[in-house]
This record gives sequence, structure tokens and C-alpha cells, in this order.
Amino acid sequence: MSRLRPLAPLVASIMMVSACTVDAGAAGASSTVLRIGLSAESGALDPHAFTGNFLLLDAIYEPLVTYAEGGKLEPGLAQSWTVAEGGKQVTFDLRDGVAFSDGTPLDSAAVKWNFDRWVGNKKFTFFRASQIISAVDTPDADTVRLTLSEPYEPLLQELSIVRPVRLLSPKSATASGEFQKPVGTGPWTVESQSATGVTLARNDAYWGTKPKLEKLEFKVIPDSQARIDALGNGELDLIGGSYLAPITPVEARSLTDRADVALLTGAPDVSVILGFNAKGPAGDRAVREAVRQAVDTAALAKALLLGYGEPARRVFPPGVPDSGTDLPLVVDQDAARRTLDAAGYTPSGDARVKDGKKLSLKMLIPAAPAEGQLDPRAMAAAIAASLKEVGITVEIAPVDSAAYYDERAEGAYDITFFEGLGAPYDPSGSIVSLFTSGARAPLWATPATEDLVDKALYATTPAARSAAYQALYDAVAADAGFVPLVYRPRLWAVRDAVKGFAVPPTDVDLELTGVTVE
Amino acid sequence: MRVPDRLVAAGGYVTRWAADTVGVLLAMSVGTFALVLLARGDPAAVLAATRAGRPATPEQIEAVRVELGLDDPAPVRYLRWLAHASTGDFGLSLRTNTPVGPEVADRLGVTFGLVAGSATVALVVGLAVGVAGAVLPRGPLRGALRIGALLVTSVPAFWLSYLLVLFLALRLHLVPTSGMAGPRTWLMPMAVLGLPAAGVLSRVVAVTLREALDRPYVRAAQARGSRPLSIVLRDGLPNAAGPILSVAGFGIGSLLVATVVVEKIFGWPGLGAYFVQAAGARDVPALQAAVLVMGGGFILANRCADVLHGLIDPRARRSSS
Amino acid sequence: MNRGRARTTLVAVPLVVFVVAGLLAPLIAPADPTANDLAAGLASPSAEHLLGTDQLGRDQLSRLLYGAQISLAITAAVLAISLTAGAVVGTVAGYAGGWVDRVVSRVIDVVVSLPGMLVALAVIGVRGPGVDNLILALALWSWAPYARIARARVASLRDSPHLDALRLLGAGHGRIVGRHLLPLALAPCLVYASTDVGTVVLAVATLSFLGLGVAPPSAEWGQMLIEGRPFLASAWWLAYPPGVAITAVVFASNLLGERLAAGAERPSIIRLVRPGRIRRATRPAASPDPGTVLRVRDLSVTYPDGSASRRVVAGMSYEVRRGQVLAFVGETGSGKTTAALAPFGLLDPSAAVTGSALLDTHELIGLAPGERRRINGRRVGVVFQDSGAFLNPLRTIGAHVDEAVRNAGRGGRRAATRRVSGELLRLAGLPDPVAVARQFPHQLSGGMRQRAQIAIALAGEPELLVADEPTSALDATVQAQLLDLLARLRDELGMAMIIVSHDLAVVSRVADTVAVVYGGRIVESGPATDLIDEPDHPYTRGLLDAVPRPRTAPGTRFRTMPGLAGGGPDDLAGCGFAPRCPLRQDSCDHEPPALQPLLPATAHRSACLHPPTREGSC
Repeated sequence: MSRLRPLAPLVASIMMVSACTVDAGAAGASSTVLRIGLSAESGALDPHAFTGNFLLLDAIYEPLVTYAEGGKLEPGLAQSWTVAEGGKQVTFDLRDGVAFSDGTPLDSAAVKWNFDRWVGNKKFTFFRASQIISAVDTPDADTVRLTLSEPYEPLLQELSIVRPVRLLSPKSATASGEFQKPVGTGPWTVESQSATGVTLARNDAYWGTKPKLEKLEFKVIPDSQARIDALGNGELDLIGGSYLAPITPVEARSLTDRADVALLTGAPDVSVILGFNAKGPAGDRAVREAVRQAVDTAALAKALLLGYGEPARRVFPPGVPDSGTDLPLVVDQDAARRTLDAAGYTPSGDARVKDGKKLSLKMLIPAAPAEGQLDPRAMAAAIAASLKEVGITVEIAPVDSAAYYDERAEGAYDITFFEGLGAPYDPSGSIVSLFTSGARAPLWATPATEDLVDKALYATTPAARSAAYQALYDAVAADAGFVPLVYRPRLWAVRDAVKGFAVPPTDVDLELTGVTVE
Repeated sequence: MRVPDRLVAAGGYVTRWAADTVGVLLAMSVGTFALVLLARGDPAAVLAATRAGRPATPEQIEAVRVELGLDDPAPVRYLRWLAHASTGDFGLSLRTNTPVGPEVADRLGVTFGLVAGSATVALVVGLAVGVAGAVLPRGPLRGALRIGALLVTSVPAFWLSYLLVLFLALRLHLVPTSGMAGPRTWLMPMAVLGLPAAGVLSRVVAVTLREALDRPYVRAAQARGSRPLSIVLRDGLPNAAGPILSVAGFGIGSLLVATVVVEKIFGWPGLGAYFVQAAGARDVPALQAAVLVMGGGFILANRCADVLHGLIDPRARRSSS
Repeated sequence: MNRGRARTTLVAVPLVVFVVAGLLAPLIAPADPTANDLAAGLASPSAEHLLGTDQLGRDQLSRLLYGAQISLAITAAVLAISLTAGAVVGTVAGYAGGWVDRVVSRVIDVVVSLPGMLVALAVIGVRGPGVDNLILALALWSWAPYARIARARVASLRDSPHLDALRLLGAGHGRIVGRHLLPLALAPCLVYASTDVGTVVLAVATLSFLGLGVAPPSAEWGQMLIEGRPFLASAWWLAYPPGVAITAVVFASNLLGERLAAGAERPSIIRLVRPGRIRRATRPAASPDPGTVLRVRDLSVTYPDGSASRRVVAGMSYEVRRGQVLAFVGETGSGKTTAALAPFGLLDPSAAVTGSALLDTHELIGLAPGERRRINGRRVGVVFQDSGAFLNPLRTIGAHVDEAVRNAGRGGRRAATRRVSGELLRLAGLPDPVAVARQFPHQLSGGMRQRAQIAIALAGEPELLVADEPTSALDATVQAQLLDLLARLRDELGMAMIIVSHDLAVVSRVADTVAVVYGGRIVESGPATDLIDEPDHPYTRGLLDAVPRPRTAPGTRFRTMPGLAGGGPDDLAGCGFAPRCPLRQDSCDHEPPALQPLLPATAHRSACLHPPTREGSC
């Protein structure tokens, strides 16, 4: 078959009609290939750079510790680990008999070589672990010992993320450390990579459970509706996920009346939250309170998410560790009007006025949805219409995404959207970026929240940690410092011919071991 | 004596338009640089956030800024870029940290294929429909061609794409919905880009050719027994060449820019898509290269039309030298 | 004309609807376009929502109408800015001339040579989306074409006497530019603007596609299309109406622009189909005289004139024999050229030709284009009036002659064709054929161009040469040389020849027979000597009086005919010349006089009821 392949284009060019049958035949016979959508061209697949697609890196490279459903940490390339010296030393026992796909054994020297590529490196300052780790030792070929400059509880969780902690074969870089080719220990190896897609082949020497599929064909389709169309037309088998081939609820809806496609949803890991700028009209608690009362998040979720997502009641969706309990959020437009009346905002036509000043909020939004996120325009329009009903004028200011984060950081808004970082960073990652004034664009930062963030991060017992998180959420809610809007749905769509696919625990994972194509 | 004269004139002409083109490109590069400078949005912040996989802290952003030399004054950065660019080195992309030159070259290949294909569609269909519009008698067929030509130029390209995908790919299964693999994937992008250009061109051809065919020399050609095809090709089209070529040059140049829309919808990894990505990330080196190549291509297409017109029309040659 | 205007109005209907909808949106829209009704999302069209609702339950019809408002506002603003700026800049540059003009022209060139969408993308990227930035981004490059148009218009007027007069009268520059030039420059700009409406509407939609459009919750057509995309297959009321609206407005704008720019259209001279109804006169029973090359009977030519039609040649009959020259003489517009060219299908395609024209024994009237090619260029050669226009300016003289040689079937290989061409050029009196063959028409003098035309006409060794005003617009010496050449060619080649001229004296040198044409009819014909020596018709006498004759004593005042050349043959019930005729009598107004022999069995004929000679002799 492979010897005949070079002839295929020739055959196709001679007989246009036969081209169709050749395609279909190939797809039908080789049920060992899964065709997957990819929203953007993957850059160089170097786990220690910032260019490669998360999920491709995940398929090729493995971490020492893996992140499982519900935030549980499980052994990865490390069979086990021990934490000693008050949390300042972590020792990993490496799994035996594992080798990179180029044959290089996975030993402590290889692990140390990998850590040395990023520990203490200036480019990785954002990554706390790179500064906390003060030494990487290799007592024997099977053991790696990390010494920390101070105890850092989230270390193990951080070591489960994709980059830069995953392990690259030391032979796939030049002597000067320049990345050459993507070689890891994972279940897949890179067969080819181009601007239009990536093909992964099964790593037949994989130490764990080998995938049943032989090949994964990732096709780059930047337009999300085009991905839906391609799936519907049988050109793809699988799309979805935040970082793979995101689809929106509205687009997914068009697939519901198809018998040969299944829509799957995963437990959400991100809340979309409306935040306020305290310097401005929203500095008045009554205004924030009224906004919270006026926006009917249940109706919003129904209209925008079309049943694929729930209205938010927490800072982190229930599936995220330490997300606490549902906050007391009551939607009542009359209450909103009363709140505003009581605070001295008197109705004047469609709007309200206080001290001769019209109550108007500038709503900053990204002009186009960021990858995998909900359409900010529709959401903004819906919120503006709700607020108009209680007399709050909203002026929507769309800016392009590069400017959006700058303007949000500069506080050039009265209300705008915030989101958590998602698994596996949460909740610890997000509470820093959302509730401390040192963050670039915090959602709501007061001395009280900062104090509670510290308490949550440095809590030594799980119970104390949970209590601190809950206290943090309650404190912000008491300030009316935010309006949790909806839990961002995690949507996947898969052709019925694909068997054994389950939505992965987080959107940075792609578990395809048991998947087959009929 | 005549030949050297002509050569000197041609040499002068080439030198002058090369200087012109470089001048326009320089102006474009200054403009692009200034626009990015004025634009809201900080490349360091974008890059830092990409690295962190989440919004970055001010310290991280500052570190990236120093690392990339973005802390130098703007004129210094521009001149540094210009010095490198003049040697063919367009620097590293801020976004992907890979050399811009080869990246743009790769993508230019894709876009060039798309533009060449669409331009062929535009020229063949536009000329055929336009000639038909000029020589057909007034009647339903000619009316239909005219209405059709104006209609395809009036539909927004992205909507035309949506409709083609819906009907050709999803309903009739004639072509794949997107991608760039195999001849059938070329049909829709080429149609979306080529047909509107063909529509515009056909109208210009129809009007100018009819005018040219109304000239006395056409009657003289009939009087000496020339065939209609020969009259259209030898007497009609060359005399209508001025407007036709300038519209064709402009149209083909504009195709380069229109690829922004089509590449996005059909998922072609071309220059248009690259431009949008670079603009989104305030990736100045990538943006500069993309703008220069697109602008250069646009100018080149127009200049080629001028030169071609000069070859066809001795009077144009004379007046331009 | 009325029909054309009605059609133009029809074409503009979508634009009018667009403007009205845009202006009156707040009054006619059934609902607030931004008001949500989250419970009633995605409702299909109903009495309450004529075009259904969108995802947020907003009334789609209202959004469509408000979308027209936004598009209209942006389009109007962009056009107002770019048209004003462009017209003023272009007018000032065109009027000022000199370095100002050069600098401005250069700037215009640069702006026009920038890809507009790229500029718009960059500007909005910098300044952020929003209506005012959108207008700025579009106006920034769309002014340049207006400036170019205005500049060209004004530059062409810069040295006009009218402006000189204004300056002499002491009008200031500002006044000249503002009051006199700007209005003139605006007219072509406005025509261009009609197409630009479409360009702007499309550009706004495209910018919306790229996420750079109007801010929500405003309804903008392009944005509505994008939002409707996932519903293409499920909710047509979201996906189609905005697309249809954009397309209709842009289409109408394009069509209107084309109509305004093109003006009245004439049918193409190249006919791909056989001409329609052909009416031939009954063929003369008698077999033609073997010496007669062309025998024309009852030739009429009619042109459509609005909804009516107008005859320009009425019932002419003439013939020309081997080795003889027939001259048609008459004033401009008399129909003489039409009469000479009609048999060969060389008139405007709208002309309807009836009658009979036998070339030898072949009927020429009503031939299909393919059949004509066996006659034209082979058996008949034509020399047109020189104005440089009858030679393709883009081809060398050699290319023309080579083509004629090939058409005549005398060509062969390139070299053989060239040799024949060279001989023809030499035959036409061009001494250096090789050099002339390399030249373009504009590089030759008028006389040389005429010789080149003669060479082309001779390529098929024709039996008949038709020369339409071959010598007018040339100076007297060249005129004489050319006439001598024609006379010599007739003698050497034994051709029949028809020469059309307005100058009786000129043709009298070479003509054997003369036909005087007035108002689409032959008013007098006969052997050249008879006709010139004893003109019968008052018009012929007038023509002869209007030319200096060699025999006239110097200082004689010539009587020029009063009045202008007449109209067509059917304008008057009686004699067409009657209004200008010094001898007109009442009977002249009743019916056109027939062309009758002056004496039985003579060839000299005249169409006059009261000819001066005979009147006088009576």
C-alpha cells in the first residue's frame, strides 16, 4: 500500500471521480487513523519553549507527576515521590525501563538535563517553580532530588503542567542546547509537521498502555465554524477543547440534529465573571449590587450557551478543588431598581442620574473572542440590555485582544470580563491573578482579599485551606465585587465512528489510549 | 542609434520606478512601525502572557521587554530593523521566536499559489465574459452576463464563502469544506477571490472593448476582410489595454489583501492569515515583513500592468519615458 | 431616452430604499433593535416579528433597518469627506500646476497605490473599532481617486480661454477655483461616488468580519451576517436578509455607476450574428452589362432614431464600370459616404440597408459577415478619409499591410507576405517600404498614411476601389499627388473606382462620371465633363459657384449657397433642396422630383422641376 502511495496523485488527476472513492476507501479501511481538528498551526514542539500546542506536547512528552480528574496527582514518569525537610525537599523515584522514543533511557541524568534547561532561567520567571528550586541532584540513576529555597505547596501540581516541565530526550538538542526535533517518552511520536497539520504515529515502544490507534492526523482549521463544517462533512473525527479545536455552543447546536455526531461536555473548569473597576461609578457598592441583581445569569446561560452551560454561582466551577459553596446570588430587577433608588440614582428617561451625572458604565470587551472563549460581543450586548432595563447605561467598547489586556490592566473600564486560568492552575493560580493588587489586572483586590489569598496559599492543612478559600469568596461577594456569569462549557464533538472517546479531565489533556475508529 | 536610445530610456524608466517602489515601501514600513507604536497593546505583554499561558505580571513583561530590546527608543529600533532588513534579515518573530524571513517565504508560497490561481480565474473568466459583453448583441444572454458580473462583485467575500461551503461542500459534497490538500480544495478559495475580480474586469473589458471596437480602424479592418476574432485580438483588446491592464493590475494586487478573508475561512496558512496573527500580537518584525511583501506585491502587480501597457502601446511607452 | 431614464430609476430603487430605511429607521422599525427578550430567542418569522428574532430575542427586522442607518451614516460620512477633500485637493492642484501639482499628484499616486484595506486595518488597529474610526480609516484612502479625477478635469481646463478671460476680468484665484472650477470637477466625482457607495458598504462589512467593525449592541449588516453564520442551515432569517441587503445596495450602486459613466450605448460594429430582416429589392431581370463592376439599384439606408427611424439614403441607383471612376459629390451629411459604403456592410450596425447591389453577379445586400470577407479585401478595396483614425495606432504599417495580404489569400510564409507588402507599399508610392513598414501610424505624415491605406486596399488586387474623401484634410500639393496616384492605378490595374468627395473641382480631375448627392438623394448625375460644363441642378450650380474654377478671372466673388446643408430625404414632402433654392416654386414642395435624363438617351440626368438652364431656355 505504501509503495503505491506515490501513484495516488497521478490516479487522482487522471480520474476525478475515482479520487472520491480513493479518499473514502482509505478512510474506511484504515480505521486506525483519527483525524482531529487543530485551531492554530503548532509552533516548534519544544517542551521548553512557548511555541508548541499544549495537547500535541502532551501527546509527545510526559511529566513526572500527572494531574487527574478532580485535581488529584498521580504518578507519571515518577513512580513515587516523598516530600521532606518541611516541604523543602522532594525526591522522585523514576519509573524503571522507560526510554525516549529515540532509545535514550529515561534516567536521572536525563531528568536533570531537562530541569537545567529552565530552572533559574530568566525566561521562566513567571513559573514560580523555576525560582523556588535551588538544586537538582541525582543520587543515583533512578532518583532525582529537588531542593527548594522555601516550602512551596503547589510545586507538585505545577510539575504536572505541560511546559516547561515535560521531559525531552537529551539527544534531541545540540550540544549548545538548541532544540532539534521533538522526541519524548509519550505514547505518540511526530511523523510529520507542516503549516497545515501534524501527524503523530503510535510509539510502539511506549512503556504504558499503548494506544489502539496507529495515527493521529491533526488538521489546522483556524475558523471554528469551518471546524464544525469539516466534522459534519466527515473530514474530521474529533473537535473541541479549549486549546485543540474549540467550538462555541451556537456552532455546536448545528450538529445536534445529526445522527452521526455526538456532542460531549466536560465538567467546566472556568467561570466567566463580570468585574468592576472601583475607581469610577462602579466604586459605589450600590451600583455593583444593582448590576448583580439586574443580570439574569440563568436566562443568559440559556440564550448564549443553549443548554451546554450553567449559570455561575462560584468563582471556580464545582469541579475545581476548593471551589467552596454556591454564593447567594439573587436576580431581581425590581430589587436592582430599589437599590439604585435608595442610593440616590433617580430615573431620568431611560437612564438614571445622580448629582447631575448620568449613570453610565464603560464595558471593555475584546473585539473578537479569544481562542476557545465565548463570543464577548453577544454576552456584552445581552448584559447591556439587561442593565438598560434598570436604568444603567452601558457603553460597549470593543478593542482588539492585544490592546484589551493592556487596557484592562490600566483600568480603562467600569465593567469587563474576567476568567480563571482553568485546570490545572486553579484555584491557586487564579486567586493570585484575580484578587491581589500585585497582579497585572486583578478582578477585585482589597487588603482583606490579599490577606485571605495569602492564607489560602500558605495554609498547611486541607481544612484550613478550604476555609480560607471560602472566606475569600465570601469577602468578595460581600463587597459585591463581581458577578459570576456562567461556567464556560467544555464542548467536544466526535463522530459516531469514533469509539471509546471520553472528554479528558482538563483541556490540556487528550486521552486517546482506548479510542478506536470503526 | 535607435536601439541604444531605447535601452537608455528603458534603463531610466526601470531605475525610476525601482526608486519609486522603494520609496513607497519605505513609507509603508515607517507607517507600519509608527502605527504599531501608536497602537494600544504591548508586544511584550502579549508575549509574556503567551509564555505564561495566562496574564503576565508587570515584572515578567519588563523582563521580556529587555530581552527583546523593546526598551530602546523607537527610532533606534526602527533604524536597527531597517539596517537588518536592507541586508535581507527581517529579524525574529516576537510571537514564535523564529526567523521571519523563511516564515514569510513559506507563507508567501501558499498565498502566491492562491493569488496566481485566482488571478487566472479572474483573467480568463473576466476576459471571456467581457469580450462576450462587448460583441454580443443586446439581448438576454448579454444582460445575464452583465448582471452576473455585477452581482459577484457585490456579494461580501466572506458571505460568498459561507454560501459556497454550505451548498458545494455540505449539501452537494463536491469539495472539502476547507484545507489545502488536493486540487478540489482549491476550487472554493479560487472562486471566492477570483470571481469578484473577474466580475470587475469583465465590465471594464466590455465597456472599453466596445468603445475600441467602435473606432474607425475596426471598420477599416472589416473593409480589408479581417475576421472578427482577429479584430478583437489585434485591434480591439490592444486598444482597450490601458484601462483593462490598470484594472487587472489593481485587481490582482488587491487579491493579495483579500487573502486575509479567504485564508481565514478556508484555513490556508498564507500571508493574509500571518498578517492578522502578527497584527494581533503586535509582532512588529512579522508585521513589517508581511506588509512589505503584500504592499510590494500590490505595487508590483500595478507596475507590471504599466510595463505591459507600454509594450502594447508605443504611445504609452513614449509618454512614460 | 425615456426608457433609459426609467431603467436608471429602477436601478436606483435599492439605493433609495437603503437611504429611506436608513433615515427613517427609528420611525418605521417595529421594535428597539437592542432590546433583549432572552426567552424569545431564535423565533422564526411571525406576525409579531416579521423577520424573526436572533439569539438574544432581538427583532431582526428592526436590526436590519437600524443596520441600514449605520451603513448609511458611515457611507455618507466617508463619501462626504473623501469627495470634498478629493475634489478640493484635485482642483487646487490642477489649477495651480507647477510644483504644487507635481507634489500633490505624487501623493495621490502613492495613496492610490496603497492597498486600501491594509490601511483601514492598520488605522482601526491603532485607534480601535468604532464608527468614527471606521469613517477615518475609510476616508483616509478613498479621497485619492476623487482628487485624481478632479485634477484631470481641471488640468484640462487650465489654459482654456474662459479662464484667461476670468483672470483678465480680475477674478481672484479663490473665486476661480471655488465658483468656476470646483463645480466642473464635482460632476465626474459624483459619478464615481455612485460606485463608491458599494465599495464603502462592502468595506465596512469586511472590516466587521475581521472584528474591526461597529461596537455592539448596534446592528451592522456585516456583523449580523457573521452572527448568522452558524444558523445558515437552521435559521434563514438570521443568515440571509443582511447578506441580501448588502448585496442589493452594492449591486445597485455598481449598476448605477456603470449607467451614469457609460452613457448611451451603441451597438458593436462586430456582429456575431447574421443581420435580422433583410429586404431586397426585386433583382433586375436584365443580365448586367459585362463591363459593369458594381450596379446598385434603389439603395436605401435607414437608421433608428429613438423609437422612430430615419432614412439617410433614399432609393439611390448608380453603377460603375471597369476602368472608370465614379465620383460622389456633396456636402457633409448629404449621405454620399453612406451611399458608397452601404453595399459593403461598412456602416454602423444599426443601419438597415435595402435595395440591391450587384458586384458582377453577386448580390451584396444582406450578406452574412463570413460571406462579406470573401468580397471585402479581395474584390473590393476601401480607402478611408484620413484622420489617422482608420489605422490601428498600436500596429505598424507593415502589420496592417501584411494582414491585408493574408486576408486576401496572397500571403504565405512571413517572408513572402512581407515581399508582397513591400511591393504594395511601393505601388502606393512609398519609396522606402522597409522603413515605412516599421513605422507606427502616428509617425507618418497624412499623405503617407493615405498611401499606406491605398497599399492596404490594393492587397486583394480588387476589381473595385472605394475611396472615401481620400484627399481631404491634406494640403493641395499632396492632394494632387494622391489623385494622380489613383488615376494611374486605375489605368495600370484597370480597376473600377468610386471616389467620395465634397469637392467637385478636385474629383473632376479624375472622375469619369459624377453623381451629386443632396439630402440622401442623387440630384444630378452624368459624365463628368457634361456635368461640370453644363450643370443642370441649382445645387450643382451652387457647388460649382462655391469652388474657384481655373477659368474664372481672379477677383471674382463666389456665390456661396445660403443656408445649411439639408436634412434627410424624408424631411420634406417635396424637393429637399427647395428651402435653399433660389429658384424654388410652389410646385417644388409637393413631391420629390425624379432623376430624369435631360435629353432622351443621354446619361446626364437631373432631379429638378425647374432647372435654370431649361427654364431660361423656355
